[in-house]
Amino acid sequence: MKWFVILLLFVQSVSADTLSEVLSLLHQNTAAKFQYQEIRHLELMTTPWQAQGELYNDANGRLIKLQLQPNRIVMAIADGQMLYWEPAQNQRHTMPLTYEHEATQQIRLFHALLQGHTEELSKDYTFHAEKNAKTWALQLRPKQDDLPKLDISGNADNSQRDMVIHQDSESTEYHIQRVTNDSALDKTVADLLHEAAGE
Amino acid sequence: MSFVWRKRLFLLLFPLLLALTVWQARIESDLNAFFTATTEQDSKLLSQLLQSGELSRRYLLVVDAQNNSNLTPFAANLVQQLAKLEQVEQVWATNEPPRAWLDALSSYAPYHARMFSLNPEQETLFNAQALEKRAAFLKSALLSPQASFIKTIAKQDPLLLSLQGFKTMQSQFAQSSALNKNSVAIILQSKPAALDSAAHQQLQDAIRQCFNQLNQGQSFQLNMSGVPVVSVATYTEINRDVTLVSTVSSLAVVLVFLLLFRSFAALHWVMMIQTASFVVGALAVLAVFGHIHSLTLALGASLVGICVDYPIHIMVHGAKHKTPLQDVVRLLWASLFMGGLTTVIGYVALGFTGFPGFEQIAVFALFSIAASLALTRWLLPALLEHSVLHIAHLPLIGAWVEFCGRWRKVLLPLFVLGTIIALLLMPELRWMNDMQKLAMNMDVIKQQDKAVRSHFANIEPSRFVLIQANDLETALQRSEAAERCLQTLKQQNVLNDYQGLFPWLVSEQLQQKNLETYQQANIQPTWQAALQKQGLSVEKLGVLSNSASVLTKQALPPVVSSILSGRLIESPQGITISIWLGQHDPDKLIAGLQGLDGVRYFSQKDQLDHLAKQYRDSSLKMLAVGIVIMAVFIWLQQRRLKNVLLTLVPSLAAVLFIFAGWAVMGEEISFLHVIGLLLAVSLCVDYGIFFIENRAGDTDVTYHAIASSTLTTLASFGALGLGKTPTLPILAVSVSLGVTVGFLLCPLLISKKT
Repeated sequence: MKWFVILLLFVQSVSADTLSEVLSLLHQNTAAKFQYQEIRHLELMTTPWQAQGELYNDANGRLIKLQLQPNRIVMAIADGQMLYWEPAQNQRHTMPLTYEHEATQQIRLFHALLQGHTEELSKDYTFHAEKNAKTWALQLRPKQDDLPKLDISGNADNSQRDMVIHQDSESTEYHIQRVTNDSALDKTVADLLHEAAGE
Repeated sequence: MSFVWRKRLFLLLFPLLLALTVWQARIESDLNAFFTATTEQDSKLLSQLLQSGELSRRYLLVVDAQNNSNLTPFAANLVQQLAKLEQVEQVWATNEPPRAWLDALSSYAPYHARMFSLNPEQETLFNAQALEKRAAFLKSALLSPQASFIKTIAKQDPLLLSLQGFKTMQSQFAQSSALNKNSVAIILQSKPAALDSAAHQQLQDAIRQCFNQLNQGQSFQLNMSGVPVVSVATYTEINRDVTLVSTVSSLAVVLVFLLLFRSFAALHWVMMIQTASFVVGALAVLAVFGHIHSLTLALGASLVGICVDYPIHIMVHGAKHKTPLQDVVRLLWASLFMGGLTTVIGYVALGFTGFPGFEQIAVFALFSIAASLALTRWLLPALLEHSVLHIAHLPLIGAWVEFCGRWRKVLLPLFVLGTIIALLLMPELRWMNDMQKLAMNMDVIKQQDKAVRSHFANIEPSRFVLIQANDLETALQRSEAAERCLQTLKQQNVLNDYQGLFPWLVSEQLQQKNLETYQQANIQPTWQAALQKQGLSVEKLGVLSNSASVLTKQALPPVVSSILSGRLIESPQGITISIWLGQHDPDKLIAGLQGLDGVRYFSQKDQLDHLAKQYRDSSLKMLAVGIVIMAVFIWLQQRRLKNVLLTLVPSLAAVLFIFAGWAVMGEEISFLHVIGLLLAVSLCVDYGIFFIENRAGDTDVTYHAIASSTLTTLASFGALGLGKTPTLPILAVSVSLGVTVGFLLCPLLISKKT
């Protein structure tokens, strides 16, 4: 029996180490620009819907998702709120991230992962991490049925990530590629925030 | 019963009465119960709107950011914490609809074909181009953060027609969002009635406490406004008035008493009699109404100055003539009784003016005066059996009587001339038509209210379009007709916004029209093509249902009733719907609504002004009725018409001269002025009775006794002048002026010979 307990502790320790390594790879605390491609498989659409654009992250923890194709949409997370602006439909929304609303659920998840704020996810999710010399992977499984589940993977130099969010019968894939680390991005982030807020 | 036993019995009963009053006391602070509660239908509605109307129960809160970031999450957190307070019905930030409202919208999806438009015949929703646009919008919505909400609705209502009518609500939230860049505006709907000041005081403390807890270490600022805020401020002022007036009035009467008799022994017995009378009055009000208003207590305290007249009258005669009080009481009882009766008549007439607060005061006065008279008659001689009484000589009293007697021949023609001039001045009287002038001056609160309201999409709290009908279907049809008119008026810039019941509730008639339009459009093939073009599932979104059961109020979730609580009032008399209005031009709006059945413009201010006019007319009527009844009772006692006239003339002349004075000064006269004069008449008539009967046969002593009474009345009613509530100074001025002029006229108009 003793050897089983020792083995279990060893396995857990290996697993915890892997998880913290993977989480540290996820953590992004400097200004960075990414390109992304998004593919959505929605219940009410016949074909997958595709979009592409840019993601901006700044050192203050602000995140901008700028969709460029098929139409321009600015979605931002800053100062504890989510801003949404779709010029083509003249739709603008502002809502707090603490607001118990499904509308902010996915973007909050996305933001927490990109920022490496996994501690706030741990109350709702269980984590499973894998890592080898070339790639790593992280699975998040919700403790409640109404939350989305998530698979995220990346390469060793962390220049590329793939993320799949599953909810009900729908899923959203993100293929994200780092373009640059640049502190000059702050102005772009500020401009996009103004656009989202309609200022 | 011997004096000793009378005294013992009183000393035994007095603490029991006090204990009973404290035990039974239910003190009411609801201002509505005092000022506007009434039976007339419109006034009742006004009272109901003030009391429990949704807009009246709303707090408007503004959180200012100063230099803080994280305003939105702070406000969201505050909203969550405020929602937990027991007295809060609903609370939401004005930039996003409350979650419960959005949830409620999904229950309308099955009825989409019956509720998409107020004017279904004019809609161009179903042509090919519009349907393509709609499919594009659906796709965009399914990809937006609102996707989860839209998906639930789209499965039952692919064209999202059920959301069509709610677009105006969305624009109202967007408008509010645009008004608040560095602040968050929050609406808090409370549970207690708007004028339940005690409950609102607690709630406001709880709101501030909640905010301060969250704001620790941060520097957000909270500003608050709304009807309950004004109500609490008024309540605080009235409480201050009640305490001040009661204290000063009692002290002033005590001081006058001590100046007159210089006897603490006499003072404490007389004050015990007055306290007992006060307690009897309070117990009577509690027995009749079940509660006593704090303003009744304040105005009741001034009655001490009247009730104390009866013992004073006895004591002055006793002191002057060194006669046992028992004999004086027997001698003067008929005059005292008649004086008390005329005062009661004045107060009872006051109770019939329609002003709800005075009903309590009338009962209070009736029982207090009766108790004071009875205690003076049967107890006072017992209490003061061993007291040696002295009365201070009042300077000029004898001189004035003498002067009036000597110069009567000159003064009387002058009096007649003055009376003629006063009568000629009567048409110059200016009547107060704006009841707001009787409201407390609260400039600071008004400025704060203005600043807070600038953060809100402006819906006026006191002006509505009112729709009335016997049943809900008719009321809804009328309301929809009114909303069509308001839409047109909005396009013409007559009003900037309104909030009606459509589409929260839709009449069956309009539902049928919508359904027919929808069925006739036959859009399924075109819609399917539009879906295909957008890559949306024809299988799941392309099959349109052509029928739906009727949307009824019962089918809707309870939150809808809560949203509409202040706009839909169901009573045994019928249905009342109120459509809330933004800024508007009243005249053009009234003209625009003309000809619509059961629809009218309702302004709380107009209604209050109407009430003020009504109170004024009834107080004038009651002034006349009161005088006639007093005359009848005096005639029953005196049986001489001349004496009746002479008794009444000083008080009537006083009223006439005071009215004339106000006419010259341009004073605006309200019903409160008239009520004050009615009280003055009922008091002055006592002087007339005492003076004309002069039972002691000594005019000087009688006039001294009257002067003493006048001084205590002035002391107690004069104290009302210290109140900040305008009601109190008006009563102070009119009663004080009335009794002073009446007192001065007595020796002029009633000669010693009479």
